[in-house]
Amino acid sequence: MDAPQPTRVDVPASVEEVFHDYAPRIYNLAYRMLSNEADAEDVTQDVLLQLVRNLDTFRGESAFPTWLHRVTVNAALAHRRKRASHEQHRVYDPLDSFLEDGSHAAPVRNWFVQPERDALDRETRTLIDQAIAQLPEIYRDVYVLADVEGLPNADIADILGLSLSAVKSRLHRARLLMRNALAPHFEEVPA
Amino acid sequence: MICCREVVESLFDFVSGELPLELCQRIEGHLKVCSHCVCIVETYQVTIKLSRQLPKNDSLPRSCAQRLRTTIERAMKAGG
Repeated sequence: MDAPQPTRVDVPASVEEVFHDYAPRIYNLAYRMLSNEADAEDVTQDVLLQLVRNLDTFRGESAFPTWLHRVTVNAALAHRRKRASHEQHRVYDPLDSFLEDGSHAAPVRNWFVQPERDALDRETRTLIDQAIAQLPEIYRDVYVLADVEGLPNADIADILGLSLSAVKSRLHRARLLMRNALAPHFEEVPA
Repeated sequence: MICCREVVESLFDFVSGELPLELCQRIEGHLKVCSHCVCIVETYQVTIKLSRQLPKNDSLPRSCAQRLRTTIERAMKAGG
């Protein structure tokens, strides 16, 4: 599949600039989608080479970050297909975990973390990244693009070729699974 | 009265303010009497905030950075 063309970028003049400005962003997104360092490196190399090859064509107004996201996501999805690593088993639905009368199957406790006040320490970052890595792929992709990268749902639908309602549905389930995965680490201990 | 499952099903639109007023009011009524759902709403939002604080520009593993740098240098010297 041909990569979509970017329409604007402050053209990097040197290897150092290409590397410094883009490699970490591409690598972090690819790593969170693929949960594997070697695969993330392959994708980063692929995207950086596309970037270098297209340097002369970068003209126009805006859309470069979108282009970069799109090309990185396409490369990561292609890499996943090549590895035939996509999951075939049934994906657990977090909305299935209620009693017959619709009430919670287990007590729900509050958390002691205060994201508005505390910067993420290394341990917390690791916990969150591990929880992301455990998400089923169909939920992980939308979660990373929405709640880590901060893309609008409409852009995610466009990039992943999904309807807007599918993005919202997957994102909601991803958030519930993330909440459930993080809860044992952050729950307040009952008095 | 709305049940816990229905509250959780509607959470996405509830926290993004996209629910119809009538359903929003029913959920708010449920939250007044269900501490478990209050915790779910709060921790759902904390989960989103924590994820948005993850760094997107963390530095690459050193050996990976070196290999990529070499590849990009070669590609740029070759004219892309």
